[in-house]
Amino acid sequence: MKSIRAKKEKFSKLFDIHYKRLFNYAFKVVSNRDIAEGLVQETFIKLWENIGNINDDERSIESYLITVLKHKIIDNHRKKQTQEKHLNLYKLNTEFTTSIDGQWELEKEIDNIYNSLQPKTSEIFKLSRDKGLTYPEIASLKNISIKTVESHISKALHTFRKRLKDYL
Amino acid sequence: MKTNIVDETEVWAYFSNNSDEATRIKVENWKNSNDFDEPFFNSIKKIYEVTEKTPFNETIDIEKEKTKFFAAVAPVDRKSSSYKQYLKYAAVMVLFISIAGIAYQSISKNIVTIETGYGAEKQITLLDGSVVWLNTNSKISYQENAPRTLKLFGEAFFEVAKDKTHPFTVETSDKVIVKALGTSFNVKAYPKDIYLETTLITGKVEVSSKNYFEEKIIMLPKDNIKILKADGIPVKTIIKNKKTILAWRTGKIRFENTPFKDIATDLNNQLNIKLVFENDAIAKSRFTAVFDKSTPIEEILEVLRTSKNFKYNLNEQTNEWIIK
Repeated sequence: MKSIRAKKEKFSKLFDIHYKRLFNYAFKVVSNRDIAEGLVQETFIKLWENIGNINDDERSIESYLITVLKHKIIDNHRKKQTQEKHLNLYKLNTEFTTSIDGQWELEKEIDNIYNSLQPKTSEIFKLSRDKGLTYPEIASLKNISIKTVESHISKALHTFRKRLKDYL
Repeated sequence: MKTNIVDETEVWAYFSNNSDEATRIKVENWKNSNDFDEPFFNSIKKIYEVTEKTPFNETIDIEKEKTKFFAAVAPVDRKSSSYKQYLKYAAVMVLFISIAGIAYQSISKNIVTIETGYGAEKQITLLDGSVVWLNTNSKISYQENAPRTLKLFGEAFFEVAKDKTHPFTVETSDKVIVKALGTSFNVKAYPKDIYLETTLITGKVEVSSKNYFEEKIIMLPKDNIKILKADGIPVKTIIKNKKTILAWRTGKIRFENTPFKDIATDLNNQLNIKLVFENDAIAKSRFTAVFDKSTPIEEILEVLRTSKNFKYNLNEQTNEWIIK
């Protein structure tokens, strides 16, 4: 068995790779920061306890994390539902499961799209989307013409429209 | 396929609220024209929605989460203490879930709203540990990630958990702000009232107002500040009996040397009972009394009649009690 220190280093890396994405996903689904943080923490704890039984590669670990997190989200949702004494529990839970599966696929695809764009295009698109800058503002910040900004935005939008066809 | 006279960068700018006026008008006109391509427009709109980051994406602290995690999994005697840690965690989760359960139905866009109907009161514990007693026909709301910045309609009593780095503020609908660090105070700000009122029980608070006055007022325990909405001038008095201010928390309505017309406003706010005065002298006469909120209005009027002479009858059409 590996030393505790090696295991801790490994988990520190796993946090860097997966934490933000898992948290963002959990938050979008449960709409509560504290609950989302708690669920992601519990997910990592579960991985810590079971890491010996999982194939030691990126893919297996990611799919383990997301599977556990989804179960935790559904569990959390079910508890809330029971509290509210919903009648058709089964139907609601099935719908909820389908919708959170779709949400994860969507989040993953958005990440993939950002990664597939040229770094410059991705950066300029994010300045518009996340920072809320106008085209002239981006142009002067990056020292390029407004036309160039528009062509980056246009390229990004084309890619999003094509690759998110099933979601739009 | 339709040719779009508006291109995607223009629609995108339109959604991200970053378009110049000309583009905005161009898109608006296009929307109302025959050339409008709705699926195209909606696909850009959807891209805008799905690429939204969580509101605090920048403040996610991975290192802090790591520390929390290692504290939970790494003790020397791993089996037992990690289990204990886990239990502690579970307890916190249950608390969050139960709070979420109470407020769940009214969560939209991360704003939590808690309301009471006529004749009902509610006690709420916020995530920071502060306790709020919400009087009847009142409402508080706050952004989920900022439970110490509240908006209030109506009346509430606050017992604020100490946290020097995060001030606790209550804003009324007319933008009077009461700011506290660790204290208990009452704010009464029903939209129908002619004045709003705050009373400090313990600690220290600061009252400021965007609409009414410029200087900030520091309040000390037992200070009561009334702001007449008509002229916006704050009047400070020392309360003799805090029971009067806080009676509502025990299901009572309490008046001390209060004009009948102010009592009528309270009855209207709290129990949805309407009193109309046809006799100005009686409207201005003062009463001291305590009632349960469940007391029928006839009984309240009968008790008040023992000290001042007036008559009353119910107009059944308008459901108003006429006092003369």
